Amino acid sequence: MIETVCSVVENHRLQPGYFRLRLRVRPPVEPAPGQFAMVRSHGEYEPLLRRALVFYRSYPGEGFTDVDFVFRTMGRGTSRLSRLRAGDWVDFLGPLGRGFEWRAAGSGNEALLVSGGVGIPAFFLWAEQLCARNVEVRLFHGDRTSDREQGLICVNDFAALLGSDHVACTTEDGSAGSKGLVTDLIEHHLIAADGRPRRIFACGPHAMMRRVAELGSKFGIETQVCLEAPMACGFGICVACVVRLKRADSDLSDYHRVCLDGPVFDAERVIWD
Amino acid sequence: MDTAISLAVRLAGLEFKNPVLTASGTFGYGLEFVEILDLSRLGGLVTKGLSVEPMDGNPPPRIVETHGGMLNSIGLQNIGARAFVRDKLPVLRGYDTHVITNIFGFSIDDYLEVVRILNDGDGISAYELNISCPNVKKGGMEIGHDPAEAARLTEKVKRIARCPVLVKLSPNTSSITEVAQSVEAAGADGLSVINTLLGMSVDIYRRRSRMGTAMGGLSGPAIKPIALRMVRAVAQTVRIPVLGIGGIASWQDAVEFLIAGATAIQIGTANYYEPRVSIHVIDGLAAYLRDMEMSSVQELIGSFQD
Ligand SMILES: Cc1cc2nc3c(=O)[nH]c(=O)nc-3n(C[C@H](O)[C@H](O)[C@H](O)COP(=O)(O)OP(=O)(O)OC[C@H]3O[C@@H](n4cnc5c(N)ncnc54)[C@H](O)[C@@H]3O)c2cc1C
Ligand SMILES: Cc1cc2nc3c(=O)[nH]c(=O)nc-3n(C[C@H](O)[C@H](O)[C@H](O)COP(=O)(O)O)c2cc1C
Ligand code: FES
Repeated sequence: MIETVCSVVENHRLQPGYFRLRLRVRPPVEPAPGQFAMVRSHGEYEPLLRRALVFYRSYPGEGFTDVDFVFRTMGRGTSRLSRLRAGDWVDFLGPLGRGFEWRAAGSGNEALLVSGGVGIPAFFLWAEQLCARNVEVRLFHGDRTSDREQGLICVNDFAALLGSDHVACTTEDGSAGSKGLVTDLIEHHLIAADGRPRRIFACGPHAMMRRVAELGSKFGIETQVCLEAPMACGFGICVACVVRLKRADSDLSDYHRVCLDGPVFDAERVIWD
Repeated sequence: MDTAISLAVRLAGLEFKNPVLTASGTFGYGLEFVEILDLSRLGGLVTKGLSVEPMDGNPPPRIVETHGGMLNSIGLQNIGARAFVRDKLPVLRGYDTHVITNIFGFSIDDYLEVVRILNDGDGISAYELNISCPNVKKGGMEIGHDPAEAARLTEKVKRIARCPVLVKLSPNTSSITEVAQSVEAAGADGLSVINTLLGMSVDIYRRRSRMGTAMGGLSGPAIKPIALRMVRAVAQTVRIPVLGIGGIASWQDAVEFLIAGATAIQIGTANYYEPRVSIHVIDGLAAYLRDMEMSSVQELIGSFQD
C-alpha cells in the first residue's frame, strides 16, 4: 500500500456516464486482481471522502505503473472524477484489500466469471492471470441496458482476451446479447455443463451475487464474490465497511471489513440480507 | 527544522513532543498506519474504544457521507481490552509516542473492569474515558449527560487507574461545562472535547435511516465551529488541560483550537481521507510558529483575545 499523488494520463469517456481513468503511479505498484484504490482529485475536500475503484488494468513502466480504472458516474465523487483531465493530480491510496484467489484444492481448469453492470472491471486482471495459467475462462456479463452505439462497457477487451465465444452477455431490455438476467444465463450453462469441476467468481449488484452464491452452493462449486460497501477509509481503520461472515467452525458469525479482509470473500461464508 | 522552536506541551503530568494526537476510532490501534507514517512523530495516539469483551458493533450501513463530514453508527466494534494488551501493545511499545487507550462500558463496573485489564499492560500513557458515545442504545449516553454519574465514574476509575485519566465529553448535552466541572472535581487529569454530535440521515424512498441505526455521530470539518466553541467554554471553566477535537483537518484548524484554549488537539475523521494529515499538521504548526516568531507552542495556548 502506498499513499501518493499521481498524474492523470488520460480520462476517456467510454460512453455516456462511463469513464476509463488512467493514472501514472510512482513508485510502481503491483495490483493483484480484485484489489482496489481510494482516489480523489488532489487536494479537494468536497466531497470529503475518497472513492473506491477496483484496478481494471495495469501497465508496468520505468519507475512507475500506469493503472486503469473504469467507473460509472453515480454521485458527487464519481462526477468529480469524470471531470479529471490529462495532467491533473489525483490522491491515490492503494493497492488495497485481498483479491481473487486460485486455490490448489479443488480441481478443474475452468473458471466462470460472472459480472453485473459496473462489476465487470474487477475481472480483467484476473482473466489475464488465469489465461496465463492456461485456465479456460468464460465471462458471463449482464446489465440493465446497453449504449446503442458503444454496446456494453469493457466487453470488447474481454472478447479480445478470451475469444468472443467465451464471452456471453445479457441485458434486461435485450438491447445487447440475449434478453434476461445473467444469473439465468449462468444457471443454464451450469445445467448444460453438468459435472465439470470449475470455479465461479462474481462481481456485481448485491442481488446478483446472492443468486450466484446460491447457484454455486446448489451445484457444489467453489464461488468467490467481490463485494462493495460504503467506505470511509479503505484501509481497515473506521470499521464502516462490514459484512457478516459465518465462521468456518461453528454457526456463529462475525462482521468483517470488506476493505481489509475482502473485497473478495468465499460466497458460502457470506450472510446475505 | 529550527531547533529553537518548541512544540512540546505538558498535559496530565506527561510530556508530549508536540500537541498533535490522533482521535479514538479514527486511527485503529495505531499499527494500521505504520506503512503510511512514522508513529514516533506523533505527540500521541488514542486507540479505538476498548470494552471488556470484543464487540460486534451495529448492523451496516454504518456511514453516510454528509456535506463536510460524515455520520457513523459503527457501534464501538473492537477487539476487547485483553486482545489489545496481548496483541497490539507489545508492538506499539516500539514507537516513541504516547499511547492513550480509549475506554467505554455499559456500566461503571464495565469501565473498571477494562481499567483493571489495561493496568496489567505495559506502555499505556493515559486512559481516556468515552462517556459520550451516542451510538449504543444502552451505553455511555446517560453517564455523559449526567454530571453526578460522570463524576462517580471518574472518581472510581481514578482510584484504581495506574496512569492519568482523561474524560471525553459529549457535545449532546446542554450542560457540557457542568459535566466538565464535576469530573474535574472528581479528579480527572484532562478533558477531551468533543465526541461526535448526534445526527440523522433519511432515505427518502424507503423513509428510513440511511444507516443501520436511526441516529449516528456526526464528525468532520462540518462540526469544527461547534467544537471550537465548546473547547473554549470548557477551557474557561476548568483548570485541567483540554484536548481539542472536532473537524481538525489542517494545521490552521489545529492553531484555532490551541488559541481557543486547547493544550493539545486530536485529529479524527481527517485520518480517513488524508492518512498523513497528522504529520502535515505537526510540520505546519512548526512553520507557523516560526513565521509568527514564537519560540514555543505554549505562547499560543489560550491566547484568544476577547
Ligand atoms: C472495493 C470497491 C471497488 C469499486 N470499484 C468500482 C469500479 O471499479 N467502478 C465503479 O464504477 N465503481 C466502483 N465501486 C463503487 C464506487 O466506489 C461508487 O460508485 C462510488 O463510491 C460512488 O460515489 P459517488 O460520489 O459517485 O456517489 P454518492 O452516492 O454521492 O456517494 C455517497 C457515498 O456513498 C458511497 N457509495 C455510494 N455508492 C457506493 C457503492 N456502490 N459502493 C461503495 N460505496 C458507495 C460513496 O463512496 C460515498 O461515500 C467500487 C466500490 C468498492 C467498495
Ligand atoms: C467512525 C468513528 C468512530 C469513532 N469511535 C470512537 C470511539 O471508539 N471512542 C471515542 O471516544 N470516540 C470515537 N469517535 C469520535 C472521535 O474520536 C472524535 O471525537 C470525533 O469524530 C470528532 O472529531 P473529528 O471531527 O476530527 O472526527 C469516533 C469517530 C468516528 C468518525
Ligand atoms: S473502509 Fe474503513 S475499515 Fe473498511
